[in-house]
Amino acid sequence: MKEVIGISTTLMTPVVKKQPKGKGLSLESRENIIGWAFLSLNFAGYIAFKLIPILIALVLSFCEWNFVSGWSGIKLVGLANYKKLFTDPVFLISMKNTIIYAFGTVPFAIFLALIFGVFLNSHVYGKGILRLIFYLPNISSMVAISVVWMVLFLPSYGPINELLRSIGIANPPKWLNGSSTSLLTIMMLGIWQVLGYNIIIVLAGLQGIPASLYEAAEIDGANARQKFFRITIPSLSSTLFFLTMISFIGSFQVFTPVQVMTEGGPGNSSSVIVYYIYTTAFKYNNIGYASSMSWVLFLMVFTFATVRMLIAKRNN
Amino acid sequence: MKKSISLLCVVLLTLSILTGCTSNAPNAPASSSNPPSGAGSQSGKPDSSSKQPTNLYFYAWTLENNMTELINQFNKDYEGKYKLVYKKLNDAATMTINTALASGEQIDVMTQANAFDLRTRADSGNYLPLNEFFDKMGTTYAKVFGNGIEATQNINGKYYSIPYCRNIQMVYFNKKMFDKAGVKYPDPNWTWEDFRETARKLTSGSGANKVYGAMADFENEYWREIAMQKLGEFWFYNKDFTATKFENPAIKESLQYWYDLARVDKSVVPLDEYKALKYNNDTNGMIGLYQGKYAMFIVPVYGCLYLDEGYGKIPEGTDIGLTNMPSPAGRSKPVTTLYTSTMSIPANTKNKEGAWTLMKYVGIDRADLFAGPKAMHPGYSFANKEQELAFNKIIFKHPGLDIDMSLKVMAVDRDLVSEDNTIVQGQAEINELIKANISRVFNGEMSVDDCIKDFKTKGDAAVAKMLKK
Repeated sequence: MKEVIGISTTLMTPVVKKQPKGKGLSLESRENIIGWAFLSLNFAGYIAFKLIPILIALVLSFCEWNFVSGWSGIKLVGLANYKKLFTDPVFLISMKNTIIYAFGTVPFAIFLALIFGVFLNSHVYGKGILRLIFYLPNISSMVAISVVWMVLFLPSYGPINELLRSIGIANPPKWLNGSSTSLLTIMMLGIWQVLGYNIIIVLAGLQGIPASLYEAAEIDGANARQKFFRITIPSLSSTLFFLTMISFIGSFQVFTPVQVMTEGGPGNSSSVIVYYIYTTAFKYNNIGYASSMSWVLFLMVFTFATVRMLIAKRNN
Repeated sequence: MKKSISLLCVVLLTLSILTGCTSNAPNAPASSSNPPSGAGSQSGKPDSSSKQPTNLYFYAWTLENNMTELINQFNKDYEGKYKLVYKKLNDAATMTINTALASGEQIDVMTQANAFDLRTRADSGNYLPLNEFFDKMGTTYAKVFGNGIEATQNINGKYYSIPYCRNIQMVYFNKKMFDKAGVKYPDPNWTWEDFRETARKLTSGSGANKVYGAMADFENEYWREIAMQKLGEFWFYNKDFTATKFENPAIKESLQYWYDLARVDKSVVPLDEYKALKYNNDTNGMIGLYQGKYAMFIVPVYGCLYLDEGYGKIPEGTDIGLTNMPSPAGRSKPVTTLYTSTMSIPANTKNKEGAWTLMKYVGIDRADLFAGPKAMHPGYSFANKEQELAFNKIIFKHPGLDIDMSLKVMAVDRDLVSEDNTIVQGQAEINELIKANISRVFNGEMSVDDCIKDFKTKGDAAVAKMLKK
């Protein structure tokens, strides 16, 4: 629509703003186009490398397919893959282990991050160095870390068991080599690796809490515990919510330590969903079945994230 | 001005992304008459209008410098007709090879190291049957490669690959450690009881300083060695592949033997150390042997390949000896197992005849240029002892190895059982079941009897399920 800038007294007709020649779009439109142009690259990448593969995986989850046979080898099998999940003992164990891993590592990692974050936020010497030390595992290669932990946790003469023997524990745990301790060891590694990142996020949140709140609480006679539970925790609620979400999403997708340290063993005791998806798809070429597992994992994470957000919204 | 710059940046970014997304066709030289094939292309005749040699694309995971002699000799022998173009794969993993096959690139000969993968690819129509080539040669597969290999490579009457090597399981040992312990070197006709006794005598120390009698990948491979030696090919299937035979006493005997070595005698490197110290990597395995971590190393013949300065400090003199794999008592001659790595012709090759020529050259005519430098025996059976000796001299030419002993031991007449398994009935599930249970047995969490019972119950169920399909 053209912009009316006045009424002609001679012709008694509206006078419209004449657009300069060759420039048919308004300033706002041009800026929008440039903005969309910048975003389009990201969108194109998202559509090409995330959305389309997700949708293809959904289709393949209803099919039986070995990708080496080419597109012509795809056979529609309906819900057979999903039905098989309920009777596949390895899938059920992997699902159970993944849930245990997630609910075992996330709360503990966040709790520890809160404690260390409060500690580092107070007056302590070497704050910068300590932060670096905590953050180093997060930026290190997970493969390298896993290999080192395998040596540390050697049941026969690894340093950890040697230490335990030296303090009188005659039969220390088998760690990665025991069915009852393999998943626990991987969880310990997971907590250790993610702690630094959690601490950084908590520290950022802590620094956003006004000091005046603590001063006012002190004037009112609040002790350290009361200040922590009545000021620190509530003020950090959005930070902790963010951390919980991110941590759970990440922990549901644990893979590298399992692949490097135990390969899901001994006896599937440390098998997790992503590892089982990997072996099903790439070792046994059962792409359809692996896709169905992937979608179950996706729905699980999506449901969790949605419920969590609804609860947070309601609380707000 | 700012908007123009912004727009220019957007255009440049888009162009760079589009450039990165273009196909990466192999760089064929200008003189080549064979353009790279796309997916679904059909095999065709070589371009007769050009006098340039036809490129034949060979995919394997061998290091390029180990291929130089083969490439040069092939190109010389087939000058003007064919030209070998080598494409190195990262490794022999299932995914690596499957991705290459699905990529649509022109592949005339593909290698693989896993019989189950071969079967999967053959069933998916990825490979050409090779029967016609043997018919043209006027021979049979069994005559060229032996009955054992023929049985494992026969897929419903057709052959989709030929072995380019036989990886024969042997035992390398550290002579110095034997001398120090006052133990006689193993007799090539020794038994499993001799092995157990020898391993006990060579085990000493404790903790990080413990020296073991032997090291082997008994979790994945060698726990079943005795069973394979006694039961032959397809050791856990019954005769018509309709059920398993895990109830056979030989299988329990095999598992019990290694359980006793690992958990009773404690004379073999335990699983946790084996995994943590990456002894499953053959290079580390050989290094561990000549560094004196253990006295005996069970590995295929190619283990001597890692006696090379490129992998680390090598032993002096002739410190490493070779002997046969132990055999069950009462046999007239030693028996050991072998597995093969094979070559196949993808169904979308543009030059069937050329591909077969290349495959035959690499695997049969000039195996000394491919398998030999990799310290592997060729896939075919030797015509005579002289031929075998000449090949063994190529294989065992490595520093630190007692070559005279190796040649003598290798010349011993032995029975060979192929480990390859191209049977699909329940194999994937049974392999996973074995992996899960065996790790628990060697951790002491499951008894041998319970393990065997579980194998039988679940193995039969897996076979039955597959047959029902």
